[in-house]
Amino acid sequence: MEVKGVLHRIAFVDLGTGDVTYEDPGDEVYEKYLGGYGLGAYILYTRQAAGVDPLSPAAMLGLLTGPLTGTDAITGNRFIAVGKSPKTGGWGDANCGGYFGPALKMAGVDGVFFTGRAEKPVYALVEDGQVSLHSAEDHWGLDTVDTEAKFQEDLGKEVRVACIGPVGERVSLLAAIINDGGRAAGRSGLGAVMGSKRLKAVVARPTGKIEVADADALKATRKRVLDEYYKEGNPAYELFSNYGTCGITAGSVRTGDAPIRNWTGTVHDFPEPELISDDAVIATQTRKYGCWRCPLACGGHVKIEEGPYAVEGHKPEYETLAAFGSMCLNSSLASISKANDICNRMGMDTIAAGTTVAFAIECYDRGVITKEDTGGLELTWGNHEAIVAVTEQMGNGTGFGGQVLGDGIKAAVARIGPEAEAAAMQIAGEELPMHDPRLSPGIGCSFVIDATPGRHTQYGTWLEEANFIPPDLGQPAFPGKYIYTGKGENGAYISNFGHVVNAAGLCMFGCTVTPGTAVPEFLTHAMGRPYTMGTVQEVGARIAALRTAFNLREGVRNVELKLPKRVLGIPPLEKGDTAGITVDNQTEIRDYLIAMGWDPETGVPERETLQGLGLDLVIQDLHG
Amino acid sequence: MAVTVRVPPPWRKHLDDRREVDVAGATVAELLANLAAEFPSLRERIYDGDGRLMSAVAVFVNQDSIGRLAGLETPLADGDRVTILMAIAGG
Repeated sequence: MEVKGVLHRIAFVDLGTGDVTYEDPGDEVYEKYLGGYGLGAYILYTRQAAGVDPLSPAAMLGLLTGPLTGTDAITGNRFIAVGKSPKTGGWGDANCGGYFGPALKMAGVDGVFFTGRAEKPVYALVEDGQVSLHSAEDHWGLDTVDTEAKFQEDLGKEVRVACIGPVGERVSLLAAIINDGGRAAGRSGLGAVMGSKRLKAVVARPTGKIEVADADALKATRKRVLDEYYKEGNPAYELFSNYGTCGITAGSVRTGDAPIRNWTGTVHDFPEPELISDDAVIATQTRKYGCWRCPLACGGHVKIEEGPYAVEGHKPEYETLAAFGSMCLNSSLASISKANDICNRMGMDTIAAGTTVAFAIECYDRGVITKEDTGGLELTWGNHEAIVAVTEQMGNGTGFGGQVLGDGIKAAVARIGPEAEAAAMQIAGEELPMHDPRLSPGIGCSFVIDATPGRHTQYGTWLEEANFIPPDLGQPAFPGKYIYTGKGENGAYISNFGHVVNAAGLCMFGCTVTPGTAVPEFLTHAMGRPYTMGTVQEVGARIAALRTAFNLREGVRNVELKLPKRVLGIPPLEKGDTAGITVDNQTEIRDYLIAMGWDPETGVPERETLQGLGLDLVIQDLHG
Repeated sequence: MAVTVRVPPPWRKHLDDRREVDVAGATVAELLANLAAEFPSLRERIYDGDGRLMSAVAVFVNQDSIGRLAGLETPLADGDRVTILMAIAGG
């Protein structure tokens, strides 16, 4: 029996010539890499030449589902964008929920890859397993909400849309790919890659069904997991189903997980985080929003009817609340909701945008930039009017926000000058997300060593430290939060598991509530191949090695990347729950590399490791 | 002596749809015990099977974690504000 749960159909679109071809990667590729960024890494590694300019026609951009996307597997609603990141110069991916992923698969393809550059703006319509290109000149310039509305008006309400906004059209490195009016594949700058191809949108018409190997068994596992979800007192389920990620904001500020005042402050500088958290946010919520068939339904729609920040849109997530809130000492929830909506509509990564604003405020505070530089904006801590105004500029590409901040922190430092470097909370060109290694040291390891530096959605030891670990995962012992030795096996196991979650088309967030053993069960019943926690580890290790091999081939050596010193507590904070903490990142990174079978000095996967994982395709590149 | 306690968002339904209650206690340990006695469905959310504070529960007195004070034996005074948090990161 051929592998089920997938469609054996990948579309390859040349936007320059308009040619479209279709290929079946074959059972072995699906078994080894699943889908999502596993399959994406395999295709990019084998088809895209090293050294390609990520914003050139030769670069590839893929949108992929996984074998569990659109199935009964709980949280099987994800798609992932892949490509070479124009921010880091290495591997790029961005994962997203909503309804687009299942729709793309039900439109008849597991994924679609784009090369070339269209002469004029186009969109790709996917239906009945076919991809066709059409003019998007009428859509170019529209925001993401209006773009989606126009497609649904013209092509039918059932179509689902992943698109870029004006930020992506300008090929800004802050650009995200947006679907459902506010779900973002935001990181790695892949919205800029899409814009560089003049590809406004991918539109999917979901008419097909996805055949799985054993539908009854898949349903039975789903029921088992749901019973766990609904068990009285499941704290994570209660929190996320009732509040979503906004429910952790105040707690994260108080415990020190949320960075404050561009990573220099503590809760003493932002003493009322409840103003931008849980109940305050829910008070503005008009209805809940769940991704396709998700029992958690952590999203929502909010409405603020009056005042300068009147807005109606998606509920701001924790990352956004912290980036535009605690990072900027901004306790005006309405202004954050407005900034969130600007980002969603204009197609901008809220993490990158908010942290770039915080960077600019620190530069202003230090006198590195002045009111003259900002065109009159008083970028002071907590000045929500200026925060919203500069975010609008970043979205529009105008003024100081557009011209200086419009490509993120690294580019802004290059434009302002080296004196701005001290405020630059980024790694390898990626702005840091809203989780602090001084509270959870493991995420500092992840920020450096994952193929996508500065990524908060990668699993690792920080899940142990943050009480976010999936039940029944079976991971090796965890020695303790601030014990830096002996974490390698634990970290490798958890991160390998996370790679499978992402490659399968599941939500990394939902899977922290799902018993770990359910993941191989879901894969087995969907694909018709016997996955165990052992084979999950093997697949995860293979995907990790391949993503890293992509980086190494591009000259990105993660072991050489450095986090900003203050992020590691150099010098340590003087107040707050993490006062006095300095993180030893290097020991954990080294132990992780050894556990993965990678050279602890260079980060290069050892030849024997690659052979054991069946990654002969990269041995020549890494070992000659 | 009563101290105002603010509980995590999902606990609201166990406090008759409130987020804050006044609870007596000279120390944090006493206060938590009294809270669990007054609202029994909170007991399994505060304590693990061995009667220890759940690892995912963090307690702050005013702006400081009890981990930075005297732990569960941290003394409480009139006007103190205790915040209980779910120490779950993510999002």
